[in-house]
Amino acid sequence: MIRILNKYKYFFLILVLTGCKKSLDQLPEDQISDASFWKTPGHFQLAANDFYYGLKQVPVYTDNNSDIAFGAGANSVSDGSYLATANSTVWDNAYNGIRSTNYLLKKAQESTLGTDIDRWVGEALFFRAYNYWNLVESFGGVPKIDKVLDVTSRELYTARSSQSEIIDFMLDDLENAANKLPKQSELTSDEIGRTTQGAALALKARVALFMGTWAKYHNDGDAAKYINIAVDAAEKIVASGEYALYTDKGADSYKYLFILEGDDSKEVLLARRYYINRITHNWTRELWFNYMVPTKNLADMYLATDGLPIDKSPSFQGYNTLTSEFQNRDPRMSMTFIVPGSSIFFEGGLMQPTYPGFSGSNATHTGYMIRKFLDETLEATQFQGEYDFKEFRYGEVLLILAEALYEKNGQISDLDLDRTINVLRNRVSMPALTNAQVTTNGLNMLDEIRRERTVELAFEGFRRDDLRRWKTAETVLPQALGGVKFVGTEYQQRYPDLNVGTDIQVDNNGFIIAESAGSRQFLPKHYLDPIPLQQVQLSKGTLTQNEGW
Amino acid sequence: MKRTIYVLTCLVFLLYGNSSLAQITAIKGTVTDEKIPLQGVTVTVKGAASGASTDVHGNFSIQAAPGSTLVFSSVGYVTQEVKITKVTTLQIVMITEAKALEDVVVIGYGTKKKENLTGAVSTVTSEVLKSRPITNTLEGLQGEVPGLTIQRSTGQPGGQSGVPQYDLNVRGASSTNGGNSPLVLIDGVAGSLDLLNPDDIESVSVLKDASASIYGARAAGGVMLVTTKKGKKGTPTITYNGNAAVTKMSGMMKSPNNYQFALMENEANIHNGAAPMYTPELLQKVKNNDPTPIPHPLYGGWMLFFTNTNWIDAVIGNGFQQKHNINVSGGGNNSNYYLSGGYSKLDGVIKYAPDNNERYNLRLNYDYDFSKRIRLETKIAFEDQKRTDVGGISSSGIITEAIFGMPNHPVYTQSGQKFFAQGGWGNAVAQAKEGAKATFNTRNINTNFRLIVDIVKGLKLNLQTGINQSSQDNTDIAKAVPLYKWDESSIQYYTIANPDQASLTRTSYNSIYRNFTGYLEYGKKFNRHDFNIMAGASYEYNNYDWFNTSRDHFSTDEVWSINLGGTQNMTSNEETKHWAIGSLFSRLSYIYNNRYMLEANLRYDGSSRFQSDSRWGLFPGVSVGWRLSQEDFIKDLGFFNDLKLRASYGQTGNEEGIGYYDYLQLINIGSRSTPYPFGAGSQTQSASLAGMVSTSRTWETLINKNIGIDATVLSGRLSFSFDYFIKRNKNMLIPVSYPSLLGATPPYSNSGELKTWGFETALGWNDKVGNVKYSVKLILSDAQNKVVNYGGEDTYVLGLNTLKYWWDPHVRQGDPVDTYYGYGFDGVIRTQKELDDYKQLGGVPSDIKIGDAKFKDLNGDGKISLYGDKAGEKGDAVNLGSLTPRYNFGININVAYKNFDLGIFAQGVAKRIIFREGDYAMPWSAWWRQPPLFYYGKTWNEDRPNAPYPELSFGSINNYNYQPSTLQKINAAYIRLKNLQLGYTFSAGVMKKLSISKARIYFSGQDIWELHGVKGGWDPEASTSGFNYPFQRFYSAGIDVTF
Repeated sequence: MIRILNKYKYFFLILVLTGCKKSLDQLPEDQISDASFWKTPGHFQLAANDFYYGLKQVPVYTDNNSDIAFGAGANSVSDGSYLATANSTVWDNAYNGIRSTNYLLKKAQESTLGTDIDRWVGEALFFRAYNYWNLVESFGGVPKIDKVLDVTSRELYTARSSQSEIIDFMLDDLENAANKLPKQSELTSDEIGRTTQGAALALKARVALFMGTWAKYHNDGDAAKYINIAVDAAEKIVASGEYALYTDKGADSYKYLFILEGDDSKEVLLARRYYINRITHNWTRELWFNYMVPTKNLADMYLATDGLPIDKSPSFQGYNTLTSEFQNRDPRMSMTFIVPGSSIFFEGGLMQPTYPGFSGSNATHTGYMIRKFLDETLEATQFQGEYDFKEFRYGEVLLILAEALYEKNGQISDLDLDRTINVLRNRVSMPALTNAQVTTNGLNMLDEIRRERTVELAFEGFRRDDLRRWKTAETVLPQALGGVKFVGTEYQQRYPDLNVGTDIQVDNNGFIIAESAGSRQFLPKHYLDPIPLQQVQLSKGTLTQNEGW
Repeated sequence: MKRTIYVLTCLVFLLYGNSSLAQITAIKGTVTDEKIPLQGVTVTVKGAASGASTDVHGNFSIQAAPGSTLVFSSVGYVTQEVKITKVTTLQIVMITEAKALEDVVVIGYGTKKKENLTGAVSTVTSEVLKSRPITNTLEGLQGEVPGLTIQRSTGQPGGQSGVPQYDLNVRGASSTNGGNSPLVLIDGVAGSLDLLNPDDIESVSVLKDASASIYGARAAGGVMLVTTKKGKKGTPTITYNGNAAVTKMSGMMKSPNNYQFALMENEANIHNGAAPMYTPELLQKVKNNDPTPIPHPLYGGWMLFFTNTNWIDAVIGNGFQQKHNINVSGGGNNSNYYLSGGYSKLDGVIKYAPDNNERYNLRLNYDYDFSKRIRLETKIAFEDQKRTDVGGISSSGIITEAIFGMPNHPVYTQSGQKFFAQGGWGNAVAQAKEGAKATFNTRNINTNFRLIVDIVKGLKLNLQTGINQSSQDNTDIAKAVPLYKWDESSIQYYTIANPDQASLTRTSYNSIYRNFTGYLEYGKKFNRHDFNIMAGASYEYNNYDWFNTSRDHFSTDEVWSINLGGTQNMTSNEETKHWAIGSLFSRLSYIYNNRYMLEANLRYDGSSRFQSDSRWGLFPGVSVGWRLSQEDFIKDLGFFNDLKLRASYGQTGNEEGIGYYDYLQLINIGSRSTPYPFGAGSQTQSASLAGMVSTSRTWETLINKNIGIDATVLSGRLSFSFDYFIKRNKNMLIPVSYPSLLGATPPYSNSGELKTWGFETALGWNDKVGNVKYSVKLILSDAQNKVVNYGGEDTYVLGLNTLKYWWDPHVRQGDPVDTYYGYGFDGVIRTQKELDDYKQLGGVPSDIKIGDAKFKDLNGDGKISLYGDKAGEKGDAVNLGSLTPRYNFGININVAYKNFDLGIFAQGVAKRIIFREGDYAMPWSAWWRQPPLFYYGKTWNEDRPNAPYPELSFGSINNYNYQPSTLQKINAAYIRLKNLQLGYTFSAGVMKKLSISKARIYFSGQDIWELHGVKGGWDPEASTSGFNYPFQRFYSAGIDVTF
């Protein structure tokens, strides 16, 4: 019996081990293997397409972490009460992005496609630098990873490079990228939105200015070297003639630049793209409900139409009515703030007169309301905003150039002002900034350049970085965050039910206080963010924590 | 029990065997079951037309000649044949089918007498599914099988797309990577219980320990063997079962009414430093239900209403279910058949909405003997399910909208003609009423052929082919439903979809599973030895593909067809996956002297998921048993009817954590949900690496150890069994944490370990008091687990650390899976001093004030932080317990009195904690979100200084106050009356005139009562966030008729 059984057993064994052996080899039918990919330039392009998902997305409430904006409540980063976190998506996402770019670069090195894939190599270099930028602006120096790592790689335990080493590495990548990438005007219509030589230079200028001023004000490195690079990169963009400010909407151009009308305009170097039926966002509706509102710090920064700060200008109308402080001011103010009573595009396409709400769930905590980034499409009112977030725009390049020129020489000529800051002022019909005007009125040129930058780029996510690199954060950020003047003004008449001291807090002059100075701090350690704790733990002692954390 | 029949029959022969009066005469007798006389038993003379049936006392009288054979049959009992040798009075004892089945248990590739079982195998019969208003087998098995835990996820008719309706688990966690559900085999072929007609099921066996090892690499979660009914030879018996039920939802999150809402909103505003919107005057209007709205004081273009809408009441009503089954069973000399047809329809509880499920089942189980040695068993089943739902949003979306719906928003506009909305809220009633109907059709054809050849005496060859074809065809339509402004001057906006984006999506799935199995069995008994050996091989192959296509920009919403859509946003996608597994298996059983039992299993599996050189795995299992009750020293006690000790050790495999093609580096193309819109919104694809490859991975191996005891005492009235088990996953696949510098998710490696342990026990009692016959059965089981090794993973997140959240999976070494971490809630800050003291701590929000929450600085480091500062140091967030339910129990009580029968079945969990999550965890999780009524009047406020919960606020402090902490912990133990059944069986006399052999009517209620501690309206089995389709109570009446 056993013999028969054995015989059958073998029969089955043979059946399974030979007849079915092949049947156990199942290969994927809906995916490509790495070995059969990377054969054509098209493959490299497909891989490069994926990098774009790493661009900064909206909604961005970054400026709530600074002194110029306030959200639904106190912001722990802004007021300095934040603690180190276990992990950080900034850290993880950046290194994920770096791996993808390194992978493409490695495959390009192994490839025989030569210059046919130069452009995609350029895109990879650009995005590698972009990812490092996201790291550096938060953490300072980080480990430099320039190859594809495996779980056994020793480089997983790379120590942190210094901030300037990382920046040097990025500047190299960006220089290479700029040489390989096309100019804006060389993009075909299907390629609009891809990164270009101009974008690579813009990032280079941004990064170099960051490092240059950081080195200068923190006394940490070769400031002149980086400032020169910033000047040089920005000059190249200007000289290319590829870009210009958006002026299609005349006096309202500044407002329309940030929404659908400004998409793909001459001012845009690189944007995170949105498109109806593809990817949309809901930023407009969220902003309606005061997720981010301006503060008094920002409001007071806008010059009067005579080009003077409000404390010096005779044309400043004071705070007595809802609209008085908006009168005779830099027109960018009423395109960044909602002037009470002015109409904004609302549900159903209505132009809705809008006043601040101090009560209710979406009360503005400062009394101000944001207008910048409010879309004017019906789709946006139905949760489908489709305008792009223009992270790299020509306006920033001009501001970098002006600041870098000043930092380089300790002064800036009227000629240089005319081709930088005054281009921006001209768009909104503000009087030019000149050395004479500064001197006559007892102003400070550097302050005016910085004012221009803050006003022009408000809510675009630059403010906290700026305060940190200028090393002014320690004086600016611990101050109270204020709002409109409430006591004794039209506000109090209009909102008689609001009880000062209980419903809202005000300072001695009757200005609303959204967060008092007592609740805010900025310690030396806050100049850099803490390295995520878990990463420190996993690093086998190679990753050092930033000082003070 | 078979022996008893044999003995009885022999007795009859012995006593009356001498006489031989060859004349037709009246044969009289009494038919009983094991206890009481049976009424309505059909008595026929074999081969003759005449027949009789027993009266209320079980007596019968029939004309028959000595030498002829009497056939006794009754539904639910094994048919008996008795040859008449002498005119006399017969005593016939009928054996219930269930009882008969209990004697033989289906195990892997064969059956075994229950008394000879050495593994932990539980069995239930069709009895537990009988006459219950259920259409899903798993619903009926919940709480019935010790060690089998069934959790429901949704009460939606036919389930929800993409969400498994039931979570099945045997003996707790097997792995952190899935594979925790048992392998389900229907008549020996892997399949699904989802659409199987519960009425076609004869028995279910659950293999829980080494006995599952015979199924090797796919048996990590245990094995469920389902056997369908067979035809009974003889004249056709026709049985009809009908049941109709009214359903009501059992519980949902309760929302505040408009006045409560207004008060809560005011408080939240005041605490957020904003003035309350509802002035006393406005509050009075709310109180008065003032029908006249005013322009909204805050939002231009909106209206503020003072009337109250209860959105849950507005969209939820009663459901209705009907269910019909008819089957015919019979057969001739060399064949038997069972043919059944089933129909069920459940209309859901959402008013107006087409949330229905309709199902048709057809089955033919036909056995044919080609010769005495060759037998063919065929089983063909067709399952057809038509589920309908509201397109583009689904019923669960409507539930969500209803819970979100503001109590101060009316359903209709001013004139009552049109649907109202403002502010971005949808309108649940409009969605239910005007949304398009989406259809989800599933069709399964399951064929199963088995040839059994008796080669020589004792040697049997089994050849089996099972092919299951499953297809799904879904049409989902997102229709633009217009909502109007209060004054109807224009459309406010559309819900479900905007007109241009109204879309049609067609999806089809196709899966084919093929199973080829062959095995030889050889059994021999000699002297006191009883050998049985089995060996065989199988090959299984599964191919799954999925395709969908969609368009929008439809020119009409009257007719929906893909062709009518615009072409600008067409999409189409597909996915194909396949796997194969080849196996060799063998079992040896040996019994010595009916007392000592040994069983050994071996399985050798090769899987397509690995590279060919690391594809094969060996899974052994061994078990022993000792029937103490056969030993003289136990027999001498005269106490035990049966007593058996069992022990087993076995290995099973798990490959669930491994992708289909993980050993290859693949490139994903089109894996981004939306193409990056270069140019004019181009649909450009992108490519990215699909994870990191590892070629060194292999199966997870589980080691199952079990000891058990079975005992029956007091003349069989009391039965008891107990099993204790330890299950270890020795080489569990775990993600090893590397620094994020790696830039990718590292591949899992076989270096983890999970230990699960627990017990199962069952206690049964049956007896009779006077005319009342009753039985009670209790089952109780428990399983706990601990992640012994997770690569040293010491981190955790606040809240639930689970692997079920694929987007943020967490497990911590040393804890059980699904462990909840939270801070220690230290009460509400009630005084300035408390506030000042608390503010000394770090990590406290700067805007904290009286009325906010305090948490404990458990590690005393002067700050409230998730972790300690250094690795290994404790933080302030601590393990608050595991969500795994403990002590699952079931209680079955059956009582019969005369023609009445009563069945009570309760199921529950004795220890279970859950935590309020999502919107339940926090009042005003967003300003546009309703707070649960649960918090009304329970939060700190100036006039409620002693309230248990922190203040209401719209500020970010809300997230601080209501973050995961002990405050959110809920005792969610429950006991639930799953089924209450009261039946009446008609007397045979009446029925006989109608050619009905048996008729019973009954009331059967499902989930009709429960006891639990979950506040706020929730069903204790529902999700903790409150958005699931509600479970329902079924109140049903039915009839069972046999012709």
